[in-house]
Amino acid sequence: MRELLQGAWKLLASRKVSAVLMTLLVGAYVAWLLPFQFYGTPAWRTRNIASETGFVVLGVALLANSVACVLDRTPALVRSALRARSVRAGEPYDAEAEAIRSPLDAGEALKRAARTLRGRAHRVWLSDDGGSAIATIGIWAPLATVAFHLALAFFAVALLLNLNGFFRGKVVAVEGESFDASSPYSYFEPTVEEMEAIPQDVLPKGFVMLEKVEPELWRDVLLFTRLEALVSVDGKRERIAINNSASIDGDQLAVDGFGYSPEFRLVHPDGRVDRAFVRLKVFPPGTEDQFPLEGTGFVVSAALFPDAEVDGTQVTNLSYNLRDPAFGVRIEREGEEDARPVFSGVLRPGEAAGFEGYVFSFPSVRYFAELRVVSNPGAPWFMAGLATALGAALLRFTFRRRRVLVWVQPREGGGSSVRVIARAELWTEAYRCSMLARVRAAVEGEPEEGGDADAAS
Amino acid sequence: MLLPELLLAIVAGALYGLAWVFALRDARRGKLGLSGLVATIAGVIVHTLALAIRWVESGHPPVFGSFENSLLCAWFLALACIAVRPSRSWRHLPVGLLPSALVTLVWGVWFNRNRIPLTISERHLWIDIHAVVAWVAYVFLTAALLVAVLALVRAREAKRGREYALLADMPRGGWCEEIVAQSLAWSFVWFSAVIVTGSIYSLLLFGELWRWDTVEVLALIIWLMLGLTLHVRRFFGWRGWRVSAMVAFTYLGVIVIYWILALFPRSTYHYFELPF
Repeated sequence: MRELLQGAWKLLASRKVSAVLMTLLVGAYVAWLLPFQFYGTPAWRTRNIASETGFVVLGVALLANSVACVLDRTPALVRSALRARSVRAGEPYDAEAEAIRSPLDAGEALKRAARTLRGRAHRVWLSDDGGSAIATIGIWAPLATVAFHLALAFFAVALLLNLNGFFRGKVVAVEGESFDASSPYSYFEPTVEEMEAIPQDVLPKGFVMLEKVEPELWRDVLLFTRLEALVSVDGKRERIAINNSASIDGDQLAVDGFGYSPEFRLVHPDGRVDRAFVRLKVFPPGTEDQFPLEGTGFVVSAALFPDAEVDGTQVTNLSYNLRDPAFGVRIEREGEEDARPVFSGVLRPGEAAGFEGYVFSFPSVRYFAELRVVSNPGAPWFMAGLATALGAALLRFTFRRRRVLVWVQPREGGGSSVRVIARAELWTEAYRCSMLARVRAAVEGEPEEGGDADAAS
Repeated sequence: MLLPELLLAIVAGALYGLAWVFALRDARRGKLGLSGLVATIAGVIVHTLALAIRWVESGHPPVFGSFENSLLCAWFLALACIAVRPSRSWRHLPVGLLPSALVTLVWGVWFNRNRIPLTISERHLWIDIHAVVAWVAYVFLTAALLVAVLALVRAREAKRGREYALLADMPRGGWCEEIVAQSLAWSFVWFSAVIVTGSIYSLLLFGELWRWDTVEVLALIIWLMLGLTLHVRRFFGWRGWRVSAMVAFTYLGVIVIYWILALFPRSTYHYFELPF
């Protein structure tokens, strides 16, 4: 049983398994996830595909493998860092050593080599017998790899938190209206039926009043240069935009879109007055939408021209900004849309149309805003994971573990023989050449005069 | 009427072309002359002027639309040619970077060049940071491809027992592998930064850090490929054509995400172009 567990752990923490899992994940994304998207597949559909079992199993396996790798190798990394100062006999890389003939005696050569390496920010340890030295820099650098892989665990936490806690809703509100963010009925997306599956505590608590919507379009094209909304969240005023949200109970409130909400006024033949705002899909300008006049049997079809120039029955829209609106109106009997309309024409706000005793007008137009509310409890963990992964990767490749080993032996006839090995993790040539050149320059120099005088005295 | 920034871009492109000729000559001779550097610097100065004019006239940093992106990308590639000059290992990289800059400029010219303001979703400092980081990453990724090709050619030279005159002064053996390792490592770091900055902006724009958009899926594929390449190099000793093949495959994804995706506007919420 113990052997089985050990074998399973070894498999889970295996680098080969890492490579295989990464390859499978890339293959799965390229083969199954990517091709759909080039035909305009919306993000929510792609996300549904990405959350299918195959992807999830691979993703979870890679995550588990990464954490296992880290747990398995960290003790060895720490031990090797602590051991970095010791030079063991029979190091496997003896064959790499560069041999240098030095005119200095062994002790002096070693001292000069050590001094040079200390001058290059290395920590240097001399052996007890004075025959070797080891210099290191960045010995703890591999732990940045540990941090990088542990960041993946942050992503796992984020995903777990979002499984039940993530909420994204859309609300439509007309200028001057308020809504209760904690009420499922405030949202048009998700639908009321879909809301039943969502825990109530996920919804933010708070009242929001939409005071003003401020869109701005460039010239006469559908290019938004500004879309902001002034909202009051529990009495506190905030300006929000599509990429600048306000906080509502810790969740995000931002504006996603807007439209026109005309107010209509209908005077019945008996003097009764109906008045209300309607949310019509009349954007972009020229788009027609319908709404019924309740209890009358008539249907109004309207198109809004926000910046209209009217010449008789001809309407020219000058821009998409709500400056001088006009409505193209057609009023028909319900069910008789093919018959001649009872009214057809252009109405400015305040202008009225009379038909069969009724008087109809659009007194005003307001904007409505499509607001999004997003609750993302996993976001801070995801951000922490991203920051850790990036910082750790940067540290790892900036501060690599590097080591120089120097052995000295006296030579017959004077001087000494110096052997040097310089190695760096990941990429080594530049470091090796640089350190060899420096040590060579240090040990090939002539003995210092002061040193001889001291020895003589 | 020819836009001044387009005219200046054409002049910069011509100077890069001239610099490339000098770079080829220097590579064959095995030593660096001044003429290539002077032509590159002149090109970068003219190019910077083009970017400045574009910035002022359009009212925003030139980070939107294939034309502006190609202007900025080519500028980073040309700047890299100057930055690598002091390095013995990297100094001949302009042989590959300069034609990349030229091709990038030519690519961008075919797209909409109108000076249009940024749409609201693109108006944020994080977008500017994301764009700059993306182009720096692109330079490292291009360098990684170039050195991977060099490693491949060196392996072929060794197999056939001959040497190409153009590569005489370029790294070989251990040095060649060294620059492959460095370019992969820094490509990974910078591309990670692209994903991080993009995720931050996605949070600001959509309230979600990851939405499985086409751009995000492609970025994840590239990031995994870079990580995989680093792993197989470090832990399984892969060298030569296998690593080069992995880098080439990764770079294919890079080309798609940076340039081809703009041709499929409905496939992503990441705007690359607007039809105005």
